[in-house]
Amino acid sequence: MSVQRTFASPPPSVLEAVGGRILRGLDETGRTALMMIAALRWMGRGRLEFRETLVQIHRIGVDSVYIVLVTGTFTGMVLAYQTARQFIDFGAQTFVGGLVGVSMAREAGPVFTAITAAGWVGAGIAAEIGTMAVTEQIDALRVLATDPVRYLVVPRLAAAALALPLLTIFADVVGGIGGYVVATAAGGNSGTFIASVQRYLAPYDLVAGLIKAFFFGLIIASVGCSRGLDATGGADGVGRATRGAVVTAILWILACNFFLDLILFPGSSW
Amino acid sequence: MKAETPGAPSPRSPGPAGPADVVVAVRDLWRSFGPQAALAGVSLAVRRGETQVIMGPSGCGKSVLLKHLVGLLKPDRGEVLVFDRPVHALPDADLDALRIRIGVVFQSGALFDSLPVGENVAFPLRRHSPLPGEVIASRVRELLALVGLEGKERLMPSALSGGMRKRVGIARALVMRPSLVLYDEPTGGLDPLTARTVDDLILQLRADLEVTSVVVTHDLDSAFRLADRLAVMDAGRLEAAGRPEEILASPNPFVRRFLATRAVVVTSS
Repeated sequence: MSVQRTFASPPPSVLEAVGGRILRGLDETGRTALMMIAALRWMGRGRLEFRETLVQIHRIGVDSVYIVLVTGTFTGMVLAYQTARQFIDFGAQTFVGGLVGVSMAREAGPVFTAITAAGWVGAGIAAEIGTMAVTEQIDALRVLATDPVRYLVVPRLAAAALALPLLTIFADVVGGIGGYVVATAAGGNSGTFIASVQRYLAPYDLVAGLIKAFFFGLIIASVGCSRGLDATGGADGVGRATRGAVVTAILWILACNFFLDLILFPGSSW
Repeated sequence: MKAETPGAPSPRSPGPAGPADVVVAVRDLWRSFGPQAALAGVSLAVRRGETQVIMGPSGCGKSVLLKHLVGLLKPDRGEVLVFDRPVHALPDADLDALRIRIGVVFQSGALFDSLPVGENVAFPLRRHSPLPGEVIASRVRELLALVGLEGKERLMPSALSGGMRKRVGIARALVMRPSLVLYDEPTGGLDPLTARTVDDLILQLRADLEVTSVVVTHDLDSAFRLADRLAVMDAGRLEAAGRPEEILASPNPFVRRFLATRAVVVTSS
């Protein structure tokens, strides 16, 4: 029996590894951006696939209601739990409702809903389109003279951009209710909580949160579609596309949230 | 090893193809993936009404060649003309217009998982024809009957066997009445009986509809059963091309070796 010697290439240096990762990230971002431009072009021409868009609104919006009900409620409850007891101790219970309401509307509502949707919706989009890519269904669309961006991407982008703000409104409402329940259970006054919300929560806070949710919806759908379309190599490739879609979407959501805060609340963060 | 001149007439062939007879013309096609050349100077001509079979071992570049014919891949160098249109250089809108005239049967069937069989077959008609729903439904029934799957419109692709998926794929490829049909491994992964059924279907379609066909396969039985003309590929190169009897008589060492893997086919042919 002969002994075979294999000569593995040396492992990449830290610099090479980091550089390679950055280049791959830029490449993926570039391809996602090109896909978005193509999708916006179809939207600009008014070429929407209405039936497919309605299906996606149902999948992205309606099917996410229960999970947002849970995440939204518990987020509001935690916010109230962490603040209510201390504020009441300091005699500042008039701020509890306002704090919960403003926090939910500006940050917790849109961001937690988006992160939840990145895992639930983004992963689903990447897995579905990735499976289509590795089973030649995307090629089949092309040879049937159907642009996959128009048929698959545009409906998901439109549906996510519409559904995320609606889900965020829902999260804001159930979060507020959860916060109310916890705050009153901790000894707060019901009327004081509601009055605090009315006093401190401005309509702009809600609108700003919905603007954020709109962009988060675009991020989740575009990253999921892009990773799915680029999937290669069978089930393993679909798995990688799905994981990549979730992680990338969450990173983009958190980074964009900061910059959207700077734009939507200039000066208030400092 | 030099390839025989693609499309060149043999003593028993009907003579040189005029430009009007050539439906597919591939000229000096090169395509690499990284350092690996998948196609290395392939030239081929397919004449109207003929079934051109491209055979060779797995990974020899035959599916890559097929994808170039319908514009799914762009060549690094060379030309692909289908119906005298340069597939490699067409803008998207023109390429889509050309694709409507070409039917493609994918190796896996490539049926859309989210649509039932009937909607899969109707898909191109719904998108590219003004026909009313009843006419489309009637055409779908007709196509499914042609491939022996009448009454299966409501089944989802996940409920179909491999052979049924292939046949639905064929029905979908034919629904726009294409004049050119490309088959990628039509019998790949099928048991011999089902493979024979699919072969018979392709032969029947050729006889009934008079379509030009390009069939990519590594199945020698299937290749000799279907081919008017054969091309043998290896490592991105065309090793031989001609009528089946010319291929059987080819002195090319690779062709001899490839044919020897199915001696029974060669002798029976």
